[in-house]
Amino acid sequence: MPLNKIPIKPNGGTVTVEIAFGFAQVGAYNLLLWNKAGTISKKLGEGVNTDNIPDTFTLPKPTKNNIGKILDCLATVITPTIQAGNRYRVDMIVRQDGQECGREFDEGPIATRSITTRVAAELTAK
Amino acid sequence: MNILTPTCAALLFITPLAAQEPSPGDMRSANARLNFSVPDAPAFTILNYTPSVIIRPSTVKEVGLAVADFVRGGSVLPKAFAAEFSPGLLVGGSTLTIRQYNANPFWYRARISVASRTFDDKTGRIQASLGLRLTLTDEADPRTDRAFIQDLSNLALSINQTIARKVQIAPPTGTGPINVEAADVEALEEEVDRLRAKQRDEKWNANIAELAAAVRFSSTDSLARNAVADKYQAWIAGSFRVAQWGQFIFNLSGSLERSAALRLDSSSIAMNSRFYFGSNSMKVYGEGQIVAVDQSPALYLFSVGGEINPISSFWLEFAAGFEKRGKDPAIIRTVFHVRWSLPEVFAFP
Repeated sequence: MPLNKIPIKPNGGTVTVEIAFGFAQVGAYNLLLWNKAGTISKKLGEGVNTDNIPDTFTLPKPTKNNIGKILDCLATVITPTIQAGNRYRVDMIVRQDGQECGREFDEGPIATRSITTRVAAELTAK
Repeated sequence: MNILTPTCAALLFITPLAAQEPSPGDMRSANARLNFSVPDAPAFTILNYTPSVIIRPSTVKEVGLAVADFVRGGSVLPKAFAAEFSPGLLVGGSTLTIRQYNANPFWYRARISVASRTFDDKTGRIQASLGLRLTLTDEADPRTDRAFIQDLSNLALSINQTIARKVQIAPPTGTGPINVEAADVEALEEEVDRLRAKQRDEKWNANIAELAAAVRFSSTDSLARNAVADKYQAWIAGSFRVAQWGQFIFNLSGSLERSAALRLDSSSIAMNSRFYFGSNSMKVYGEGQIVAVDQSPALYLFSVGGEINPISSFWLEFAAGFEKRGKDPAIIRTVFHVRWSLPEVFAFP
């Protein structure tokens, strides 16, 4: 399955990535940036959505060097309550100069103790 | 209807001897709330309806499609329909963070239920209902329990790091859930159950206040425009912590219904209260109930009993007491119930 693409301006400003968990669920994540060659370029960060630490990370500069790289967020969701209709959603939101360039997300029902999903997208030139 | 004086009501310990069957939602929330919480879906309760299929829309779009189908169908009431949703979660649920939930839990705990069903197969008469359930306070809500959320966060991070070491060794090929079957992951996931059980045990007697209301419509045919509101019902329930070992809970409900003469003059009121001593898994109680329906003599019930939860999802309840209606002699009643529900997480082998 090909990765979805998120376009950024090679000569634009700072690119940030935010990880967000919907449906008021508890989440943890590990965010990596992969090179085209399949090697890890950089570990951007890890964390949980329940603390006061922002879940936003800045991509390395210069921005043009990020073209073709792959954003890879492994996210684990635990629902505090077990009830019918429980859902999860994990968004990986890419912004440049504060403007949203695109987002990749996964959403679905959650009826297990936890669910882990991989949210990934390729950065392309705008 | 007999009017209950405040003095009379205050003197009574109230509760049903012939216990009502709890809804799955009641059983899910906590043992301590059996029989005494307001209905999860008041619209189903006012119709005495236990739907086999309940629609739980998760987006505004799904609701819009359902309404469009209804309008296209000439506003014909469906013969069997049941839906329940939280308007707060519906509008912004997909992007609702747990911090936003904590900032305004009242809005997200509110629930709306709607239902309709064939009332009379011969005539095609249909009844429909609309219900609203509000939680004024809920100190047992796991999402607002900071210590519990912190524990879950730590666990989520541990599970995430364990899985990351196994799968983030190669570039991703797409977006979607992944399934890792490994003993270390399984062991961490079992901790989720333990934490949930611990939270329930610690909050078994937490302060909770809820209210609900519902209205029933009856139609001489299947058309919505011919429907007339013919019954109103309301509930209010509260539970109050007494130290670590006790809990006082009460439930007050009343209804007003059109009689055969189409006047809103048929009414009923019921008050229940119970005092628990013990813990979530083993407790004893004293309880009382008073029920008054129209002009009938009021029914008084009093009993003492206990609840034991020897294993997960399985309860034993026993009670003994007496029942008295008006000036009739008191009747002794005993009750023994075995209750069970499916475990919270049911995995097929």
